[in-house]
Amino acid sequence: MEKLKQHWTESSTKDFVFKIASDFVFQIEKKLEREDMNQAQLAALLHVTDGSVSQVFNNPGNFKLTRIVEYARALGMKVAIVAYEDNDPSNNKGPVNSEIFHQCWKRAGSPEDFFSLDMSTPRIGQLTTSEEAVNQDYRRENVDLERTAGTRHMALVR
Amino acid sequence: MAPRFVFTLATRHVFRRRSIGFLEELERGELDAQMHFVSLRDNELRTVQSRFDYWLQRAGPYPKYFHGWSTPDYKRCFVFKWEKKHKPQRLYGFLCHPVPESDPSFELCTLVYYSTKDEATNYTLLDRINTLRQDLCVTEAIAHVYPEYGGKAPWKN
Repeated sequence: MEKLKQHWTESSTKDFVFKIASDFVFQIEKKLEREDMNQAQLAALLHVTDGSVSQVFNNPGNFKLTRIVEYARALGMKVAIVAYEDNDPSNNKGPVNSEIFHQCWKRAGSPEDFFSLDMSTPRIGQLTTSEEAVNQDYRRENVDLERTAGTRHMALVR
Repeated sequence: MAPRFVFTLATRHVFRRRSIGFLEELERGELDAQMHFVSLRDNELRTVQSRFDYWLQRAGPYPKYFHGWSTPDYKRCFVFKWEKKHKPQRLYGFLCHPVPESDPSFELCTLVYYSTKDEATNYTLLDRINTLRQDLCVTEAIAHVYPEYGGKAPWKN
């Protein structure tokens, strides 16, 4: 086995920014998919051109914080900037995917403040909203696609 | 006799559940995935590394970034996808379980070919990948990194 080395996002701040902005784009693309929307419709909501949306999707490293908020708000979403410690100060593992924080927050009952956080009970694997149902579908499909390569794939590939 | 193939890990960090590597053919140099990957620069490299991370972390699935095939013959084939100036870019390879004894669920994606192509699947390429996947010399190359690989019937992993 290869010796443990630092994750590629440790090479430069630009690399780290690109990765966390990619995670945001990944969440936005999943939201578009759930809402059966395309990039052109998102562009219309943002009053920008399709090309502008395509450009930031293809090059997330150029995302500015203001633009991130605009994209999220256009889709009825909110954004949090989360600083955390994960016992990996040398960044051997790379940043934790932002979707993991989102799903953990949902599993904690989507607390809105520290009162509700104190009262929350983690609901592991429990379906509470349509969004979680979609996430469960993703997980199931993932197993199909990557272990038995599910049929949905085939249609998309063709 | 000198080895025909060399296998190297693509990711500098070894993840617990999955890993990605490249296969090179020493004599003919036909397997160009690694050669292309090391030539990537800046945002294109970051894009590909991010997509590797998503698969390594089991994010998705998101067929726009990576996927396999449902057809039984090609169910072990796999591809990572991105675009460069609106032109599709692909890294093709195959999946296997390289440590079947100590960690049967651990998955490895071995990338072999680079391609720029349209959305139609190139089954000739997938056939070549399947041939490589079952080649004992390839098994041997992977076994240099994962000694458990290549037990009784590695292609059934």
